[in-house]
Amino acid sequence: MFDKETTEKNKKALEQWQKDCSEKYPGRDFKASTESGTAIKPIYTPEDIQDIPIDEIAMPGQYPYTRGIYPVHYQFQPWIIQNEHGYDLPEHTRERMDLLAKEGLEGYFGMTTFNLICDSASKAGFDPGEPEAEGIVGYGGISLGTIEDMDRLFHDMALDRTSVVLNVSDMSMIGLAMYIVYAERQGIPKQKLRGNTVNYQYRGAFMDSATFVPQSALKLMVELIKYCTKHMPQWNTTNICGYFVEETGGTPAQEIAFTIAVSIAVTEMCLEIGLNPDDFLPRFSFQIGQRNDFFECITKLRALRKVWAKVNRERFGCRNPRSLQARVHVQTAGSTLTAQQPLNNIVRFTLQALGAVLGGANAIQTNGYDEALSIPSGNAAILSLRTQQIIRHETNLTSVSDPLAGSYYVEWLTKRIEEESFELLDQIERMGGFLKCWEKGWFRAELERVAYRWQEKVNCGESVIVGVNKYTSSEVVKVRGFQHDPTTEKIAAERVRQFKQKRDGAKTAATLAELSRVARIIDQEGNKSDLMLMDTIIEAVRCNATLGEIAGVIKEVFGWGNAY
Amino acid sequence: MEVIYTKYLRPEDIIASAMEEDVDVIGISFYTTSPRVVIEKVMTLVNENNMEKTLVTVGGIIPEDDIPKLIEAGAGQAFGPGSLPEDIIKYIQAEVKTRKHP
Repeated sequence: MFDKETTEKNKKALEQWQKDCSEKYPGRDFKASTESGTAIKPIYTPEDIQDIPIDEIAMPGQYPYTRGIYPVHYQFQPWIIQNEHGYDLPEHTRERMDLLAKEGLEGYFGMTTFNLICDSASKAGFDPGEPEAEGIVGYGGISLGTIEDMDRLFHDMALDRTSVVLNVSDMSMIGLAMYIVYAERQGIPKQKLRGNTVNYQYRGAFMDSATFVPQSALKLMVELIKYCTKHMPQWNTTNICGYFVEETGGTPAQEIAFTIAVSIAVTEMCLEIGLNPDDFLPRFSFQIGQRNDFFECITKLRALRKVWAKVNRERFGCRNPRSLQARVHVQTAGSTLTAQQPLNNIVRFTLQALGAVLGGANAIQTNGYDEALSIPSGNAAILSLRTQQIIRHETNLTSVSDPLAGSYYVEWLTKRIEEESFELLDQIERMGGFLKCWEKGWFRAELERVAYRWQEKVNCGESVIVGVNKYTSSEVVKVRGFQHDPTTEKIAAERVRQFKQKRDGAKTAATLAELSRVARIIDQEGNKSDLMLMDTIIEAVRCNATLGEIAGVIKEVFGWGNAY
Repeated sequence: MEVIYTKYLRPEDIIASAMEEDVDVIGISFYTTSPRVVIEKVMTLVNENNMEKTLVTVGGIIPEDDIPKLIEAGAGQAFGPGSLPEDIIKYIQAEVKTRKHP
């Protein structure tokens, strides 16, 4: 990195610095560690990055994309605000969508964008009115039951100028099918649709939630990828969600390695059925958590881009630059926000968003200050929006791409996290790959270990959480969390009941039977290039099957239940 | 203190596990959903199955408005975010002692 003369001069300066420290601070070494436990020094110098070849850092828009995936980033297109929302009935959520759009929520190049999440009932594949849905309809997201809900959400919107994240978790294929059918009825062909279905069937490997049988989870992911690669070139199929790993306690290297291991496993399955990785990898993207350790989280983003580029080029021979460019949505870490002194959270997510910008995020979600109390209230949602707007317009950060490049600490820590990530990927490989590790419970064991250590540090006060274990106050600022509409469940259940009454029941039953037939072939014989589960799901939606009915068939065939 | 970690889809699953394992305490954590409906159902099942001595306690994101209703239903203390494990342990130990030897 540096020539001989520079290296010599730096060596002398470092020796002098060490002498100054011994005199001024006798007996102290000021050693510290990052939140995840990487040992760090009080200062970094050219010596720490001497062995990093300059082409490892390169330029923005150049492999391995350490400095960002575009030659010029925010100057051309700033990161977008991609705060998720969703609650109660679709029309209630539509009110919040309209409010946020009015307050400046906007997508890339002026497109309309929404990041929508569905409720616990929809995500588990139960219709309002079913016993398992009782008490959870409209909680954690929108109640989605039938195709009619699409109109309640999207009426009067130009869907060909709209980008939608439609997060129905394990049931995202059904959400996508409803969106496709709704759009086609508005005269918009699916080829013109833009958005994201999270496709994160794999998350049961990292967190406790009901999930498909592991092998089925991956098969379902491949079905969605296969369909969209063929029919929907503008649709982002798969969200590689490190946020699950991070929120469950994972370190940056775990967040990167555990989730890229998912991508490797799915890519291999897609290769087996003849798909070309350069055709589908460009439509994978990341969701990464931004915690409080400022530089550790910035360097995590830079390391992630390197690992993604290298894995796809070296392992899968990808030549399309878009297969090597990690597009990253950063979500400020919900687990760092506190119920005590909730206004403190505004400071936390502001700093986290700042870190995301310095790390080159392509999209950012700032959580609500009431995160530990409820989903965001209207005020919290607007303040989260304003935070990103202030960073964008008032800090002048958008004028220079990757301003931290060249920092001795930043480049050293980026390299360190990259190395750790590759070590973990190798370890996962030696243990048989992502699926084997999931089935063994290895990811959960690793994450529980790290999470427990984190909690121990909080319990003993070694890790300070302001307002929780230090600077606690008896004076409580009253913050009223979001209030759900209590009539949601009753109305949603009645809608499903009436929808079923109006339809041609025989036609619906026939398509569900066909869905079951196709699902069984895929379950027993694996994904096939000429058989599309999505086609049968779409047909079922056209014939007025509800989300719960379609989900019921898929869950029954593929096996679904408490986390494996 | 022996802790058995399990998962559930419906309140009936919780009661079934609790009876099978013959527990003194049922602790349920909530995150995205309102505890009220689940707890009301759990307490109904607890009473129907003569499990009145079993302590039902909750933790996680508990909306403040729900707390009086949980107490009314017969649940024990709610432990929100930031609660210390040692406080939860002390509470459980004291409660179980009282319930076993009233």
